[in-house]
Amino acid sequence: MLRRGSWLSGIVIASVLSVAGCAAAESPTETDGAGGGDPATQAGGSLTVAAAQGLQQLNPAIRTFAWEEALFPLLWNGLTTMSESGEVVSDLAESWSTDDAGVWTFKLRSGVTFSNGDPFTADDVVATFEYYLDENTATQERNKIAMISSVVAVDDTTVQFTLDQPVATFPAGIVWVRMLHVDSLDQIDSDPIGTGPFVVSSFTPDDTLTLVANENYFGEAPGYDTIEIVKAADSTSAVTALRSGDIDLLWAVPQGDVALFEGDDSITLVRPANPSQWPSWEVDTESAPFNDVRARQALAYAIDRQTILEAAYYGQGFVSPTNNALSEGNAWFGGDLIDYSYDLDKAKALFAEAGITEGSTLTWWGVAGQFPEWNTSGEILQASLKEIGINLVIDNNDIGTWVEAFYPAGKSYPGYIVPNFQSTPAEPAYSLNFYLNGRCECNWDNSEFEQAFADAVAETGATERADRWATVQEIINREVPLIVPLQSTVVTATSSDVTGVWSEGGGQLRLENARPKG
Amino acid sequence: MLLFVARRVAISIGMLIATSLLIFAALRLLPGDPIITRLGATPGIDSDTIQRLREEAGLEAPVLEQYFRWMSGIATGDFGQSFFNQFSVTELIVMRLPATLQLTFTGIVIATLIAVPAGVWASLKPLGVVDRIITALSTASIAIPQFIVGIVLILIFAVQLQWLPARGYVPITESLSENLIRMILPALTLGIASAPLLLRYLRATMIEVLAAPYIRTAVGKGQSSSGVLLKHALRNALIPTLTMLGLIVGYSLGGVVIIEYVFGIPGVGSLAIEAVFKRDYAVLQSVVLLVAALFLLVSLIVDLLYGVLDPRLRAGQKRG
Repeated sequence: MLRRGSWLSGIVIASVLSVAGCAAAESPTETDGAGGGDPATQAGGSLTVAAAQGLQQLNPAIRTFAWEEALFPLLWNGLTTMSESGEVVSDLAESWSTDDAGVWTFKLRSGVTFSNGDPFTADDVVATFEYYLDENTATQERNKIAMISSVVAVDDTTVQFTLDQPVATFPAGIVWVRMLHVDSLDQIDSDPIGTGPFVVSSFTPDDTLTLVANENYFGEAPGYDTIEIVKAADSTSAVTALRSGDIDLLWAVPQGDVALFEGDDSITLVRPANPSQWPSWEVDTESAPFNDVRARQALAYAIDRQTILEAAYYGQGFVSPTNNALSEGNAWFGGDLIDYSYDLDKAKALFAEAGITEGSTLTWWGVAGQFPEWNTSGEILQASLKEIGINLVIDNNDIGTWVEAFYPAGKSYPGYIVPNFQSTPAEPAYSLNFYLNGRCECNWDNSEFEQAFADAVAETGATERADRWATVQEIINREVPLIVPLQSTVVTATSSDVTGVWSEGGGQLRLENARPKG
Repeated sequence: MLLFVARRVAISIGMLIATSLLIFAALRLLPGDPIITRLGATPGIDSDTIQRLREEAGLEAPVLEQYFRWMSGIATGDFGQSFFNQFSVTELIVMRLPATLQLTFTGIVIATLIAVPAGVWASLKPLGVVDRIITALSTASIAIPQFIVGIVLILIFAVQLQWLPARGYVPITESLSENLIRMILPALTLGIASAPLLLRYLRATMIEVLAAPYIRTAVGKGQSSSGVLLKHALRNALIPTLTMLGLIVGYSLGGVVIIEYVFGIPGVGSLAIEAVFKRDYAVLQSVVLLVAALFLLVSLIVDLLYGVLDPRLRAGQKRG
C-alpha cells in the first residue's frame, strides 16, 4: 500500500506542548519506548506480525511506505518519541529546553550504545541530522527540520540546534528523525546498526524480516526474543492464518474484514485513540475548473460522506463535515468552519457558477486492484454527481501510472479528482503542512494560509497557538484546496495472547512494548 | 547427440536475446517511473531531486545504452541493482529461487502422482463410470481457482484440524522438518491445480495408444494386461505427455504467484509481480530472463528425455 509522505511524516502530539522558556517545565515524562509492559506478562518467545505489504528497505530516512514505520521504534530511537497518550516524551534525549523556540538544547542519555557496541554520543546526533538535511537524501523528514541552521555537539551528551525561525513544536517535529550509525549506511539493508531493542537477523525484501533482541539495548529487554514481520498479500489467508495462530498480529485489517473479528474472544482489535488518517482527494487548483473556489466548494457539498464511510470504509472512522484534516477529537480542532454536509442543491448551484453545468465531465483518477475503498468512494460520488447532471468517469490505473499523472507538485491535471490518503500526526504543524505550497499536488498557493501557518508554528503560548490554528483551519475550510471526506481508522487485529500493542493516530504500529500474556 | 544439444543451446541463446529485447522494450513503453514510485509521492521532493535520482539510477542514459549496459553486466554475472533497496538483483533472486524450485518440484511430483494413475485408470474404459468420474473431477479442478483450493486446504488442515501451518516458508538450511511441513499445503495446491492438465492429456494419449495395432499384437502374444499397460502403452503415452509436463514445470517456475501469496512463500513469481507494480526495471527484466532460461532448460531436458524413452528418436538424431 502506497502512502504519501506527509502522512508518514511526523508524530501525534495530542497534548499541548508548552514551550514557556523554562527547562524544568519542559522536562518530559520519563516514559520511553524501552520501558513499560504489563506486569502480568512474561517475556520470551516469538511474535509473528503480518501486513498486506512487505518491507522494501530498512533506512528510516528514506522510507516511503507507512508500513516501514513499524520498524522505527524497534530498530532505532529518536531524540524524542510519542507516548501512547499522545505526549512527546524522551527517547535518547533525557530532557530539552529552549528560551525562544529558536535555539533548542537537548541533553542525551548517557551509556547508550549502538547494536555493534559503539557508544552513542552527540556527534552521532550531529551526523544523523546532517545526513537528513543533505539534499542528496530524499527524505520526507527534511521539510520538518529544514529550518535548522546549525546543529552542534556541545559535549558528548549535549546537542544544540539553532533554527532559522522559531518553531515551538520542534521536539515533535524530530520524533521520526531516527538516530543512525551514519558510517554504516552502506549496509543498512543487510545489517543495520541502531540503538533500538531489536536487531535484524535476516531480511528478504518485500517478504520477511526477522528481528532478534538487541543485547546492547540500553533499556528494558523486549517482551519477545524474536519478531518476524511477514508479508501476507492475500487478506483471506491472512485472516485464516491469524485464526489458526500462524500469525499473531495483522496490521491494517481490510475494513471489510474487521466485522469478522468483532466478538471473537481470541482476537483483540487495536485502534488508535484519536484517528489521524484521512482520505485526501486532490484536484488541480491551478487549472480549470478547480481553480475556481466555487467548484471546489461544490465538490465538497456533493460528497455523501456518511454513505462513503459506511459503504466504502465499513464504518471504520468518522465523517468530516467541515472537510477538515483534523478530526473533531483533535485537541487543535477549531475555528468558525463551514459545514459541507451533503447538499446537492448547493453543489449544483456552485458548480453552475463555476461553469460546470449539466453534461460536464470530470475524471476520478484512481488505482486499480488496490484500495477498494477508493473505488467505492468514486462510485458513490459518481452517483451523486449524476443526480445533478455531471458525469464522473472512473479511470483506475496501476500505481505507477496513477502517481505519474499528478506527482510531483506542479503538474497540471485539469478536471481530475485524485483519491489518496494521508497518515499524519494529530499535531497540525505536521499534518496541515501538507497544504503548504510545493508540497500538496493540489498546487494550492495561498499567501494568507502560508502566513497563518508560519504564525501558528512560531507561537509558543498554547492558548494563542490554538487561536492561530483555528485561523489556519478557517482558511483551509473556506478555500477547500483538498477534499477530506472523513477520518479513517486503521485497525490492527492481534491474538489475545499478545499485550502491549498500540497504534498511533495515523495507524503507525507500536510493538516495542509487546509481550506475551502471562 | 552433442550436435543436437549444441544446436538447441544456440537456439536458446537466440531466444533469450529476443526475450531480453522484448521485456526491455515493453518495460520502457509502460507508463510509470521507478523513481517516482520509489518516492511514493513523497511531498516536498522537487523535480531536481527526482532528476538527480534518475541520473544516479542510470535512467537518463539513452535507452540503447541502458540495454547494452544491462547485457554486458549479465555477461559478467552482474544482473543490476534494485531501485528499491541496496540488494543486487542476483541477491534478490538467490533469496527467492530455492522456494520456487522446491514448490515447483514437489508440486509437480504430487501432480504426477495424481495424474498418472488416474489418467491410466480413466483410459482403460473410455466413457465408463470411472472415466466419467475422473473427467468430472478434473474439469472441476481446472475450473476452481488456485486460491480457492489453497484457502480450502488451509481451512481444513490448518484451522479445523490444526495439523499443518497455514503459511510461511522455512529454508531447508534452517530446518528440514519445518521446511517440509510448510511445503505440504502449497505443493498440494499446485499439484491439484496442475494434475488435471496432465491427466487429461495422458488419458487421451493412452486411449489412442491402447487402440494401436502393436498393443493388439502384445496382447495376442500373451503379454499380461499389466505388462501391456505399463510396458507398452504407458511408456509410449508418457512420451508426448512429457511435453505437457515440461510446459507445466516451465509455467510453475515462472511463478505460481497466487499460491505464493496465499501461503506466504517468498518465490520468484511474487518478486516479478511486485517489480511490475514498482517498475523495478532491473529486477523484472532479469527475473523474466531467468525464467525464460529455466523454461528453455526444461524444454531441453524434456527433449533429451525423449531420446532416453524412445530409442527411435536417438537413432533419428544420429542420422540427422
